[in-house]
Amino acid sequence: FKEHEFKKCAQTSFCSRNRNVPQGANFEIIPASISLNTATLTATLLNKPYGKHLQLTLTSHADGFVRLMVDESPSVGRYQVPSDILISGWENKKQGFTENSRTASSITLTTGETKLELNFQPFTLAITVKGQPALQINSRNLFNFEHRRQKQDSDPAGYWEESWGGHTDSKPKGPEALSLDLVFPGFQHVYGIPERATSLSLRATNGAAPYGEPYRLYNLDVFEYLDDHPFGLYGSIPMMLAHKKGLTLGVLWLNSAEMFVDVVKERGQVGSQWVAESGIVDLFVFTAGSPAGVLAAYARLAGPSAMPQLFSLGYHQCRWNYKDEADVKAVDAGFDTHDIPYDVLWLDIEHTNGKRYLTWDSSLFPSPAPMQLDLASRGRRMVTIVDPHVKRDPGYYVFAEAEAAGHYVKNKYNTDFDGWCWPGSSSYLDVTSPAVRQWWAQQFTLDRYSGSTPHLYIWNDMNEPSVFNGPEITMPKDNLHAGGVEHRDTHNLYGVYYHMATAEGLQLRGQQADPQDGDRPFVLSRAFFTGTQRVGPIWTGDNAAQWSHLRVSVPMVLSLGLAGLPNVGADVGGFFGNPDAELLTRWYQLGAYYPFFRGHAHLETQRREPWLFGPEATARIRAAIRTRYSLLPYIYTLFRAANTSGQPILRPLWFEFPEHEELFAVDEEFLAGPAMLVKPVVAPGVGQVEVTLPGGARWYDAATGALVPPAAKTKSHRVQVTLDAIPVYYRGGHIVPRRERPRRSTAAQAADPLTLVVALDEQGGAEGELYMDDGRSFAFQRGGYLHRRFVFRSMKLVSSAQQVPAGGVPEGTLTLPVSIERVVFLGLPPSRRGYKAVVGGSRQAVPLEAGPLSLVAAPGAEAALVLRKPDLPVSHDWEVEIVAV
Amino acid sequence: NVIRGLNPDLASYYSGVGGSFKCISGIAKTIPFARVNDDYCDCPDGSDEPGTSACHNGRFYCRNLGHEPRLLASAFVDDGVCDCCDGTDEPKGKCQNTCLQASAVHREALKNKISQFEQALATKAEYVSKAKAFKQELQLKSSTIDDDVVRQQGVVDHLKGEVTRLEQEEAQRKAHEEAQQAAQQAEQQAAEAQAAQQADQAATEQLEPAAGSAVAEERQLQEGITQETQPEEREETPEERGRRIASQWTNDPAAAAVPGSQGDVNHEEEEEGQQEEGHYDGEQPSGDYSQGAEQPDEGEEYSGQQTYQPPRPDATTPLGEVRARLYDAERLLERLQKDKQDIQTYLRGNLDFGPDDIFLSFADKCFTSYQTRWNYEACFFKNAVQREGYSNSVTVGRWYGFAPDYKTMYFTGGDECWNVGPRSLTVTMSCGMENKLSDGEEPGTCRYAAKFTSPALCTDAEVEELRQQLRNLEAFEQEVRAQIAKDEL
Repeated sequence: FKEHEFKKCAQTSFCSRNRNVPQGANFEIIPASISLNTATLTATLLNKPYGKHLQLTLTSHADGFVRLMVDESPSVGRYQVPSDILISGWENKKQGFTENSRTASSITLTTGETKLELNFQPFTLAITVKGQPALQINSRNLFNFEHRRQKQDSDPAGYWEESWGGHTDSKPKGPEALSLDLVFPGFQHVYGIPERATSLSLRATNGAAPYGEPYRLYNLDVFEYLDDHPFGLYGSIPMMLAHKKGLTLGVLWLNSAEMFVDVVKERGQVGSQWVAESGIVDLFVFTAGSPAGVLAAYARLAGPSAMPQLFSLGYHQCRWNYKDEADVKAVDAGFDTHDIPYDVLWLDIEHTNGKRYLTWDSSLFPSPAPMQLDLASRGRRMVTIVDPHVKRDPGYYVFAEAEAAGHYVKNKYNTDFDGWCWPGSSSYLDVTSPAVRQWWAQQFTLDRYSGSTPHLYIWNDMNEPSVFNGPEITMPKDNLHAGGVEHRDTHNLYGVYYHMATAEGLQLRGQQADPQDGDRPFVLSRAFFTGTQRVGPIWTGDNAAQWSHLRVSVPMVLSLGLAGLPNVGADVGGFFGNPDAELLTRWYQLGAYYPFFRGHAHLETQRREPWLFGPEATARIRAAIRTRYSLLPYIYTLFRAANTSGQPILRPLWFEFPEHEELFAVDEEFLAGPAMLVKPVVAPGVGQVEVTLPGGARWYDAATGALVPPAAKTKSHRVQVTLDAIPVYYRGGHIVPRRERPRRSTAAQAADPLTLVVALDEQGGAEGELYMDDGRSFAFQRGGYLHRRFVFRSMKLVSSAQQVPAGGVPEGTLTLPVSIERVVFLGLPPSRRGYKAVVGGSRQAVPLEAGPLSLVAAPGAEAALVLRKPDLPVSHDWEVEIVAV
Repeated sequence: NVIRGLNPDLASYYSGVGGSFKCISGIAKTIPFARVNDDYCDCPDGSDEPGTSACHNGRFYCRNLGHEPRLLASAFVDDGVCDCCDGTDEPKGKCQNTCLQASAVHREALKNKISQFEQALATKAEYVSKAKAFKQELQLKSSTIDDDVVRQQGVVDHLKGEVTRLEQEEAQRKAHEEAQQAAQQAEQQAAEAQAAQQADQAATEQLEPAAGSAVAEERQLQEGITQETQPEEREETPEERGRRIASQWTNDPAAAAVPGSQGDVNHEEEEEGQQEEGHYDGEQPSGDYSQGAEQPDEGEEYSGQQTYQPPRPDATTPLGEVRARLYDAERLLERLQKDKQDIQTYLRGNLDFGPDDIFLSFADKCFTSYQTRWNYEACFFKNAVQREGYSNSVTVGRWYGFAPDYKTMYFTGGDECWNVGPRSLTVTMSCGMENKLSDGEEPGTCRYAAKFTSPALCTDAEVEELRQQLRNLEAFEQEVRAQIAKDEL
């Protein structure tokens, strides 16, 4: 990390003008201007010293949120984030306000269980949810709105130009910053506003360095980022969650300019100040009350996480770079030789002809299509990298066409911007323009992308955008986009738009092959914003092969999930540097639970394919990757929950146990979905770890099935660990579907039977789900899926169709020739002579046998009770009754 | 009934006597024999399911009649991919039997390999006889070499004296003329320099009023590049900044050097070379060779002692005639000196050239392994270097010697490496059809490795082993054909 390459708040004019500067009392509501029309309140907000009138709009939405907007007159033309960053339709689903009271100094409204009190002098807004104080706006007097103005000789420095690090930012529109003062009364913990490498529960930013700097939201390519720092990384989601006993609140400030967020922990509340360089105030407050409710509401506004291709949930093998076709062949064969499953082999920038993306280095990759077909013959895929910088070479067709069509971002003189990146002198596609996105999407069809096949998917790197010779390694803020929009306004959208355009390209390709059902795109991105979740996964960028980076990957992944972007992962092994066998093993053991699971390594690192660290390490890594594949039915079902209701895949403990205050800051462990608790080992030479198990629930060791002695209160358990595995637990009350047969790829698993793990709670009950579809197309949107619900109650296991969630999801109509080969029961009360099972209407009972919980993990321990080979069809309703013998 | 996937070596466990089956290894467990291959894993060692995918650790046996039998991980059974050439790992009808084809391919490959080996052994024999002849020749010369050198030195010294005398005569004649010419020239140069200085001044004054415009800024930046006398005051050009930031990602301090700041005469050339590759400063332009431009083959060989030879002087003038005689005498002296040196090195030195002096053929020879970024060059009995592009090189070791089995050679004590010590290179040697260095890499920090193949490493035992394999294969194929004929009857 080269700190001097990046700006601090004090070196940034708009931030230093506003940080902790009390200006909020200057703003007043003009009472006579208030107009209430069912779900919309409008008013004039006066900036008194300037006599400047602003428009304030407050709307209430049926989907569980209220929205506050403050803008100047539309004729000023301040930048507003385009509507395609969110989904469509939500604006029409409003929920009326009821006016409770109005005085000369305030108006009180309710909508559902949310109450809003708008005070006029000065302007403040207080929101309560379900009778609990939830949010106060401008209560600390830190609100500000810098309106557009004419240049004056007396203007302070930094209004119309500022220089930093040899770069001068001309600011033709002058100062236009905004400051939001958001206080969460009664809260002690706030989360979200990714991306940064720091704790899950955000620390105050008025502390000792480096936590004296505000959190920054400005997408940047940060070289060798630190593992504990408030600095912003590759992506930004201006979404924060506040949580306390009884209430979770979410706030989203839809603004794509550079933003700084201060967090201050005061007695009995968390204060925050959000300062953005430009744009408007467009604040969404999610009032559903629970963590799940807040994220569901966010998904109804910004869209839920895309349903991924099943293959993309397998293991990805990447390296900068697999050298040539022989290397690809050898690595692919290595996985089969060592019985290690994997799904995708990746090629980094060196596969191209001189960093001209969508081309191949023909000396290294003379026959890319046969290479991909060979991988595909074993059910595997390939991913190639495509970056947004375009080499300025008139002989390169992509450059020439885009140049002729005027598709590049312009510099302040309105000619094509020329920046330095991997290929040298480069121009950057202006993907904020829908026309450019459309053109870009067309480059991915099989006829355009030469050497590509339907088995090839894409990876977008450097889309912050990274510009090596630009200010802070990105684009100058006075660059110009379509419609004369300054880069400063739209910076944080560049990544998501590029990602979107590439994914549209793959979708287009898929429609050519299968006009009815298409092919779900798979595009990995590094930069992101709100909306990225609808497009594809992201990874946490260039981490390092250090234990501290392994550790911080957990809060990083959890924070992203809480900000509505669940499909994420960190590079297994660490990008920079060389992990030893122990670090690599521990990283695979954790990575097996990352929603996106990829091993990656820097060009100058030693080779680290899973079998290069000796037979013992190979066996452990094999077991970790096989664990991932065995859990894919469960993980895929979790992805469906993310796809229908915005639920994260990996969850902080408090997400599932929101009343347990002692869990609010825990980020050394997490839950994978509702049913599994994972404790990564993040230090070398560890023989035992402290595992925090939330109280009031039952926990079963996932290796042996042994019940941890139940406790009413959350307890820390000292657990012995070996290098073979990290501690993982099933949560009582849940049923987890698994596939126990290790295969070379997800494709090879398709016909395999399932195992159900039924982990009983205190009352002897358990519930779970299984979602399946073709794993690749959009047929599921027309009902081409299967979604079962399993309930075990009163010693009876029942399979029935899962209720379709509200919101226009069609009923599932798919049947699959897949059966359940094992049912494993954990926590059945002791029975002297054992149990037998009556399957379906059959007269004959089958005894439950002692057996291993999992064939893959600790197969020697036969501590579970297993229903052997019931051959239950997964597509149909059935019942199994368990009877004591 | 045949048990699918059963390894014949283990057949005795699957007799089914008593209607039960005992898991072969691990915890003692007995199951009804009906549970063998019933697509459910009962034995922790996977032994109850040799023919299904039910156990994670099972082994499936393909007989592959006509080719080689194979033990397959049970994960590959019924997974939609044909792994066994007899196709038995997938349901009937899914795969074609390709075993005899596989065998035929194998047989041809084997034959080819044998003939290549035979050729290699011939080459090896040649190396040995050449080494022997070379040493014998040196032996013959060795008793008289010192006298020969002294005598020839005398001849050379005498001719040098002659040349000097004739040259002095010639020089005196010319000296007067040249002195006059030089005086004229100096006068002319002084006048030109003054004019140039005046023109420069005028140009700078003209540009100053335009400062602040983009053109002027660019001009200033360009000036910055050329002002090599004051590098510390110069701002980076946008390109330099781009390169510097790019170089961060490759951890290459050399790549971060700002061209021009050290008055490096090669910097412009380097700039050209770097044009193609933003992040590999100093690398050769890969963009070029990928388009089919020349890229040398890996493992190219050349002599490490190519020295420039001046042409033989023209012997038509009297001075020329003596010079030519001196030239001939010097060449002969050089040859004798070389012989003397060779006798010192190869006869009296204690260098180990391997059994039968087989590696003597490589004395003075260098081999290069071309990798994407770095090239590795190893010179036998001398040293080894790693090169990046044309200008950047580091010595990764000096000749140390062979391992006792002559299958490895070592270069040690190379350039110091920060925090690690001197660099070293280990070259693993094996039998191959050509003399070739390959796979240069850095498996540990500043610990380099490469592979060298050569006919010199090939042995009779290896080729005999291959011949035996071929005989076995042919006999086996015979058997299979007979078996198939029998089956058909």
